[in-house]
Amino acid sequence: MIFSRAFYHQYVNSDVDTLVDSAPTVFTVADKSPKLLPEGMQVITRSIATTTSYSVPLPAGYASTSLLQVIVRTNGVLKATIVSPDHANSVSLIYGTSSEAGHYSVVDTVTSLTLYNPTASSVIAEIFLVVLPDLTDPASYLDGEIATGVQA
Amino acid sequence: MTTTLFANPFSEVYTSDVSGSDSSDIINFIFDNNDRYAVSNLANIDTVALDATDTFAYSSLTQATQRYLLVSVVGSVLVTTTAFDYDNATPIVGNLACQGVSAWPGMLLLSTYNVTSLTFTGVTDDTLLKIFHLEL
Repeated sequence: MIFSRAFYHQYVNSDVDTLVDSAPTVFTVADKSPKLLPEGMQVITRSIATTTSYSVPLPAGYASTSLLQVIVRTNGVLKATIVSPDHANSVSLIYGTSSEAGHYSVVDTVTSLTLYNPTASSVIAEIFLVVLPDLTDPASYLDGEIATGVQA
Repeated sequence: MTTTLFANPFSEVYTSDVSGSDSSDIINFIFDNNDRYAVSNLANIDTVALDATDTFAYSSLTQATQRYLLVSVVGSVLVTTTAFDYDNATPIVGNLACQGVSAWPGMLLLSTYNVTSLTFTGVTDDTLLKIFHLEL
């Protein structure tokens, strides 16, 4: 909550005669999106048989120094193992059902991603991999429409 | 603590086109008490600011409960899960990293079970997290 002078005068000082107008606030709504390279995006749909592993191929040319958005959807239980150069290995169970997909999503530097099906029936995995640009660099964004307005 | 979330109206708000008819649909969703499926068990909604190495945790979680975690990240965070494997006995540890900026927040999703604790550790100063934690 922002305690502006106007707010203070209106609700704390409670003397109507002392109300002051706050300065108009100019705001902008900018339509931005990161520049994503087609070769840096990969979608895989894969059936994984019972008690088998699937080593997910990373996008061609991807270096594990870059950020990778990893999204996995599944209709069963999968064990996801991510190896990253920046921290210890990660092992997680993803829980989904035939009527409600299980989700798994990280933004990380990735050396390898393996999905293992520990269950007694095959499951389907949808895997989305997107190489992200340097999100702190303004040059990494496409600029669209910019709307401006004034809040009196 | 378990509170309720009217998931369908929220979903409508975020996914519907902006028009008068859709707005009335949302109102109908909110006031239709027969929409039992619109209520989910929501364990926590938290907004957390972390500096580097600061931590925030949900601990002593019920192992068998299915969980859904949705985190919006501005900054950089490492989510460590202590859990058990599919055999319900072998300990496993998840180190789920996520980062983003205000123009493109990072989204961390996890549908899981067998988890006994979730710990959020700041990687950079002034990391802001919006955490939705559902027990299903």
